[in-house]
Order: sequence, then C-alpha cells, then structure tokens
Amino acid sequence: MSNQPDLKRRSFFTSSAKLATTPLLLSSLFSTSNASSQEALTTPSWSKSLGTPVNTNAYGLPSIYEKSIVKDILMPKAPKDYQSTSIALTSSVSPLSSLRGAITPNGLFFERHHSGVPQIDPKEHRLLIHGLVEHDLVFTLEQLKSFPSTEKTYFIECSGNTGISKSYTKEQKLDDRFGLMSCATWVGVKLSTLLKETGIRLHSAKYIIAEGADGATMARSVPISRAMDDCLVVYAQNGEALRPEQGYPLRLVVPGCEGNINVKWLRRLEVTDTPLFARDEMSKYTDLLANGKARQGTLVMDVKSVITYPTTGDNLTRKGFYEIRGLAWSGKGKITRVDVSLDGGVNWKKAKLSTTPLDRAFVAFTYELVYKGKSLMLLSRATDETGETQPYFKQITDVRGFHSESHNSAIQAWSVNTNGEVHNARV
Amino acid sequence: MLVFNRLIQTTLTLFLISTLNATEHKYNLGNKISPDEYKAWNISIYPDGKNLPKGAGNYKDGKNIFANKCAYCHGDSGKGGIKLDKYRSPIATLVKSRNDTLIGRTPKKNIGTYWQHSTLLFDYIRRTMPYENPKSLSTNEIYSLTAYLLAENKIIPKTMIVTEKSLATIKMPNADGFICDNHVDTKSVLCMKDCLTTKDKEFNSGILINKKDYLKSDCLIEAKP
Repeated sequence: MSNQPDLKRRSFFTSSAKLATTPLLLSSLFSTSNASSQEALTTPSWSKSLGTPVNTNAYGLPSIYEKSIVKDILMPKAPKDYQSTSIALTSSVSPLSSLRGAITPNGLFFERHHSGVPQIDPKEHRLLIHGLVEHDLVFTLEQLKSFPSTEKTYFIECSGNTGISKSYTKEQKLDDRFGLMSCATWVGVKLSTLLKETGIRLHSAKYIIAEGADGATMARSVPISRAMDDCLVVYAQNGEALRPEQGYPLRLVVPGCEGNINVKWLRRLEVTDTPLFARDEMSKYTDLLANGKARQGTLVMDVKSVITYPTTGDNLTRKGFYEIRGLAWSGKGKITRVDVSLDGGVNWKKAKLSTTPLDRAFVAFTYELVYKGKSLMLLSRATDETGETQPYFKQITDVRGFHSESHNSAIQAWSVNTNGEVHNARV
Repeated sequence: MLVFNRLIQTTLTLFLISTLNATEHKYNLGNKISPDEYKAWNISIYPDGKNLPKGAGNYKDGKNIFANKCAYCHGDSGKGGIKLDKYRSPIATLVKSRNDTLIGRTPKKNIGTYWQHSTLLFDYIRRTMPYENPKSLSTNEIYSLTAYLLAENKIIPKTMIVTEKSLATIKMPNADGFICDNHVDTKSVLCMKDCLTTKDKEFNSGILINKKDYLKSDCLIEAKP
C-alpha cells in the first residue's frame, strides 16, 4: 500500500470519523472531493520507444515487476548435517496473498509430492486398469484423449492445510497457513467412463486403488461410490497440459476430497473389494483424537473460507475505503454465502460473492470496509449448499483434540491494530 | 407385498448392472493386457497377505540393510529420524521408544504405536524405499527389513523368519486403533448479531447439520455406531 497517495489530509475522512464501518453509506461518502495529486504526469520511456518484438517469450512470462510472486517452500530448513537439503522439502505453497480471483495460475499451483517431481515421457506413459473387471485394459495417453472429454473447475486442498497441530504464531502469513490449496479448471475423461470400458464388476467392486508412476508410487483407495460418480482422469489444467508438478501427463481428480487422494502421475487403477490401507491413508492423513484412536477415511474437505486481504504483513496505512477480499470453498458443493465479521464474531454482515459459485470450487468474495483507525478482528464464515456453516477452532478441538494434523476447517481471524498492522489471530 | 417390491427392485438392479456390463467396449479404446504382462506393476499388498511374493527375510540381514540404506533418514535403529527444527519431534521415526504412546501432550506415531497392518511394511518399502533409490531392494531384502523393523518395535521376536505366509499373521499393536470418520462433528448456526455476547459462549447451539450418505462409504473400515 506504500504507493497509495497520502489521504490523511482528506477533509472527508476526518468528517466521516463518526460514521460506522458500514458499506451502505459508501456511495454517498465517495461523492465528496478527492485529494489533489500533487504529481504532474510525464511521458515515460516506454511511451517513446519501440517495445520488444512479438513472441519474445514464446511461452509468455509475467511482467519483470512481478518476479517476486512465486511459490514458497513451506517446510523449515533441513538439518545442517543433512547432505541433500532438498530431501526434506516436499511441498510449496501458492502465493494466495498476491493472487486475484478464484483460479490459480498453473505455475503458482501448490505442490506436494513424496519423492520429487518425475519427468515422464508421455509416449511411454501407460494407464493400467485391472482387477474386478471383465477385461484388464492398458491405455496410451492418445487413447485416453480420444474418449469423450469433460471440463470442470475444482479446488484441491491438502488436508494438512492449516493443520490443528501445527505451531501457531501471530507472525504467520496467509500463504504459509493456507497456501496448500489452489483451484483450476481440469479437462479429462470421467473415471466412470474408463471403468465401464473395462466392464467393471459393480456387484463386487468396492474400491479403486489409484497409483502414481513417480518414485514414491503413492497409492490411495477411492470408494467406488465416488469413482463411479464424478472423479476425473485429467490431462489438462487451465487450458494446457498438466505441469509436471501437477501430475503430467495424467492425474486423478476426486472432487472435493483431500489433496493426497488426487493421485498425480496416475499409472494404475486396481478395482478391488477391499481398501489397500496404504501408508497415506493410515500412517498419514488420519486424525488422531485425544483418546488415542484415529479417524480414518476422512476424504471430504469441509466448508471453509479465508480472508486473503488484508492479512499478516499488510498495513492499513490510511483511513478510508478498503476492499476486504477472500476465498470460500466446500468439498460438498457450492458456496451459498459468506459472512464477514469486523469484531471477532459478535456481529456479522453478508459478503458479496464476486465470482459465480461452482460445485466444489473456490468462490471469491469481497466486503467493503471503511477503516477508521480502530482495532479490528476480521473473520470470514462460509456456508455451503448442504447447509453446513464453517465452525470455530474451539468447536473442532472440543471434538477432535489438538493432535490431528489434517482436515481443520476452522474460521480464520486476522487482527488489525490501531496502527493498521495486520496479524494472524485465533478466535 | 413388501417382499414382492423388494424382489422387483433387486431384479431391476441386477438388470441394470448387467446392461451396464453389456455396454462394455463402447469406445473400443485401450488394449487388453494379461496379468503376466503387468506383473511388474501389480505391487499392492493387502492386509490378508494377498499378492505377497514368495520370499523370506531375517532380523540380522535387515539390521545390516537398515544401517546402510535407511538409517541416513530414519536414524540409528529407526529411532532418530529427520529433525526439522528444535521444537518438534523428529519425523520419519519408525521404532517405538519405551514410553511412546498416542495419548498425552506429545503423542508419538511410529510403526509400533500407530501402524495398522503388518503387510503394509512390505507394500510401502517395496513401493517407495529407499527414498533416493526406490525399487532397488530384492524381495528377500524387503522381508528382512520388515523382520528387523517389526522386531525392533518388539512386535515379533528377533528369531522370527518373515515370509509371504507368516507376514499377514502378525497382528499390529494398534490394529484396532482406527475408527470410521463419519463427521460432520461440529454444529454451527448463522448467527448475525450479538453472537458471542449471549450465554452460549461454547458456540454449540443450533442443529446438527445434515450428514451426506456418501461420507459413510468414504470409510476404510466398517462404521461403528
């Protein structure tokens, strides 16, 4: 916000100090006079010269002034005596605080992998479907792309995003707390189409074991009810081939379900009557309760939202109008409404949904704030079409305790102090 | 009448399933492949031992392999592991220390305290390990590592030979430690005014919101009432 003109001299704001922070009066307020620019417009160099030739970057790049907008590595540094420092680094976060709208650009989609990113030759890649089927079949990428295609927008959120047991400080930033999630438009073939092609034995099939072709060869058990419903085997993301980090050339998308089950580099689907009880649906991604028992089979990501502006590191340097922005999503359907509170949850107002709500996709929301220099506690609370409303952190920990690493959908708070500084907070 | 209706319903369902099967190869894309041809990829090991390859392993061999190929990340005897920072317990710890439990302030998850099925050791080691050189171990080496880790966790004696026949018979201490997650487990209301100033500071007022049926089928184990 540092390049914003100094608005403190605006007489309008001093006279409006008594007004409540309500968006209703904004239009009338803004009819008053603006501050003067005190800056004469000049003709910059780029207006007086020829730009670079067309196609200078055959694959387009962001402006050189946007170089700092990149994914950040989430994990702390590996120990000093560790020879291969990259070994413990297995995830990166989307820079949500710098993004706008509901779609994540492909280069900034969060990453999580278990044995690094493989560089797969699409000509050699195969998808095998076998098990409780009439015919075991193997597909080339070309064959898969020949099936009827479907295009859908879905979010993917790592179940460890905002994990309950993660350390918590007021300095924590939005990207570090929430960056293990992104949203994209996916193109591929319906999994059910492929399973029908093999003659799946639906009377005995209960799970599909999905497996990747990377070094980890990670596997997960997908319930047949979901597999035959709306899962996709995708090869394109936001209009282009999947990026290697996102599973090139093939990825399973299980809409609304925890990131890990959206198996990347998909090579094998085994139709079975039993789950695999794989490492990543047992040792990891299960929620340990206070009594020592662990919940298993939590796939769906619950209704959730977060304010993405302002957040930790932002500074409301002037009084006056600010657009609060955020994202909301639910693994069970469309978002129907988002409410915002400025006072830590005592009073709530309905936010405006600024993109069209889609089934199990991010929706962007905004809320008009007139900041008067007082301290605020900013909260957002989403509700989805099943009628489920996002809970508070305490509600979740009352039931699950503090040891579960995954599936925390609690309301996020950002505090604004009287200097306009914003910090991570918990209510 | 009810029985008759059920019968019709069942017949109809069976009919629908059979017509579905009849529409197979609608697109005639993809090539038939035999189990022998996909043998190298058919690596899932199930809790009943299904798909385990023939082989045998012992503690002593496992100890050597572990020291050479695994201790680098998992620590000596599987108890160290990668330490990310001074605040947190090491990750990648495999072996239970004497006082490790899943309850209290700092629960410890490892093979001895947490893992559900013994067969997963073979499945996971073969799939993913060693971290920087996956799928480089022989079948017997994997059985030996399995024997070593189970013995270090005091689940089997050091003298036990682990084979495709014996592995699935080994019951893990936490085999019954998992429950079906059938949440929604919180209740929220769309309070708009004076919400935290009422008597109900626990935020627990309101109705229990709908549970979708498909959530039940997400469970890997039978839901217990």
